[in-house]
Amino acid sequence: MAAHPRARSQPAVATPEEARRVYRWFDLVIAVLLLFLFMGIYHVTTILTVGDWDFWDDWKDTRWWLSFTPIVLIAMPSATTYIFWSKFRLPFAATFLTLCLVYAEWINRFFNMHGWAYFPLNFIWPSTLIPCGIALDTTLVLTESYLLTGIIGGSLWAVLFYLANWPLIARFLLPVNVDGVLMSLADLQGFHYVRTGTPEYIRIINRGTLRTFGQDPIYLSIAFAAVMSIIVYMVFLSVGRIFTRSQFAWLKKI
Amino acid sequence: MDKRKDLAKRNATLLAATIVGVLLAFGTNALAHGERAQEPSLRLSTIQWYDTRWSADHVNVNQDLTVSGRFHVMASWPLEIPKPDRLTFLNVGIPGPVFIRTSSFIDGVNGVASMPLELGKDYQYKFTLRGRIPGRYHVHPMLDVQDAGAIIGPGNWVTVAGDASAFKDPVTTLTGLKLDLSRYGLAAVVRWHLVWVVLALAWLGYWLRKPLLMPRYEAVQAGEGDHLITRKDRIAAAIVLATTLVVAIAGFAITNMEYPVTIPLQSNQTKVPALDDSPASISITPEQVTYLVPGRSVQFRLRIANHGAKPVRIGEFTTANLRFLDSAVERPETGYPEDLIAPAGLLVRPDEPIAPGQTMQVDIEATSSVWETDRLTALVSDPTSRIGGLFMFFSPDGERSMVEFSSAIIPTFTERVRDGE
Repeated sequence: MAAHPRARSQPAVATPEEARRVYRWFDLVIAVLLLFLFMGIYHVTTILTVGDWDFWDDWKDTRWWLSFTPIVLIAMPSATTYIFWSKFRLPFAATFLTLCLVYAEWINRFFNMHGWAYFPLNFIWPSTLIPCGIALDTTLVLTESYLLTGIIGGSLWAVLFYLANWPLIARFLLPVNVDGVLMSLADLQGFHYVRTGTPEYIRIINRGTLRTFGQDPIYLSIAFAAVMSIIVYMVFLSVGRIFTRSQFAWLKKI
Repeated sequence: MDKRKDLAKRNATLLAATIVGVLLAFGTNALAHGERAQEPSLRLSTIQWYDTRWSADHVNVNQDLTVSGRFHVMASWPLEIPKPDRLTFLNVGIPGPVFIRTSSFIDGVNGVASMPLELGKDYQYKFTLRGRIPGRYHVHPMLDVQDAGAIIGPGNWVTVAGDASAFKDPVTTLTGLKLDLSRYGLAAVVRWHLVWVVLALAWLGYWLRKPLLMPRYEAVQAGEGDHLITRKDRIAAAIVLATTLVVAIAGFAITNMEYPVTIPLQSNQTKVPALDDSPASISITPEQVTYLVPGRSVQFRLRIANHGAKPVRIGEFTTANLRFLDSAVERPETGYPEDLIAPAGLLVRPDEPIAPGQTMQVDIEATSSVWETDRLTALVSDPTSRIGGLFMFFSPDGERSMVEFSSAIIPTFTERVRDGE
């Protein structure tokens, strides 16, 4: 069977304008795919790791929530940043991921936890990592260095998590006297809005010897989160690097 | 050919209709939340709930419902189940926050915190719920035991009527702020989220306005990657980073000014004194306890000694939230859930008072299909075949004495154990 005469003679894209249009369409398709992919993967990662600390007001403490959340959730932005930057010089992976996470979390909280399980939205709002993601991306642009981004951006990632989420949680930390017991409004939400499968003792909040120092260790928690975020950022850059290499070619042969 | 297609279409329709029909025929509503799924040893030998009362079976939105009663922590707690002497929490078995819990007390101590409980002791509890979402719900008291899980008490159906949007949860803070906890603070949370989303979209928009992947990939592959980040890009990054920092720091500072008094999340433990022990005026020695599988009947042969000053009669055996009553001695309270009372009751032989100082051998039968329907017969397959519960004795003047009972149990698959008696 003979090939079509135009098949060899003309390229699919003839002019720079056409090429530009094809590139835009390609960008759009990839962007939409990545939106859903990142919403799914980053959200599931968050549920499986941070879980209750992000689900409920009465888990958002000054020890575990503030340190564990940024440390665990910097991993995926770090690996993705490596891919986006090393292959495309694009510095928005962390912002895009944190935005996807917020979208996915609000969808889950609104339809699932509020719509099906009846929890009030002011008890189950998600924390935000968007400013942390912006800081990571913009630091990369300004320094063009993974190491400096890890040190400066990684620290900002942890510090901004506290600064940006304080205006959200602070109003729920007002004190209340509940039949002779001091509680915060967040604790009271947990008591009022019954979670059959979550007894009070199961909350992992303010545990550890630092508890003896009251609220002061909050800055230790942030400092610890910053150091760990730097380390996790650097480690997961390597994971991103693995995904950009072709050492999995042997798998294709199999 | 058409005929064959028609036949295939008809067969497919028939098959689909059959599948739907079968599903509809065998599908039932899920009306409760798995209380019968718990292992028999967990229900028979851990917590025995009694004197449970629901203040109403119909409340409106914003109207209170009180659940109260007592529970006995079995002294013969199963070895395989973590004991409640570390931490427990009085909870409510309802399908989510369809009610809110406004207060909770155990022996008069506030039950918002977790607490250890003593084996062999009795506790009195009371909690108040407020109707929130209209519907018909099974309401149970429940005790969460650390590392063991939830041990659910008897349940009653309660209807909530009214308009969910009218629900209010008024609270006054120690700073004097009056608020509705069901809605408080949500607008501010959403506002802050939107601020950050807008900033993120601005940063993404800056990059997404020009072709991205293909031309940039080609440039990087060609070794031109370092030229892709322009001065303009750096200025944009600096502006966005500065804006982020300013917004975050300003938000933090303004919040501190707005809420100068905040406290960390509170987590505490409390101690609750158990109810006073009643004098041990009656003792029970099990001689033989069997479960007659074909007859759905648990048969006890007991040696009962009355050390008290009054004659007593057995009026009730309660276990796993089920009550077996000797109707000649005790009647159920009005409004108590019928499905928790065995219709055939308790057959006691000889059905006569045990005099003070007397020791009597008594045969008791607790016969009911509830052994099967409540899946307690699964105890046959438990690694530890034991039955536990509370025997309740009554004196002629109505005074009640309770005795914890625990014994090995032998299943009988073919014949009555004491045939001919």
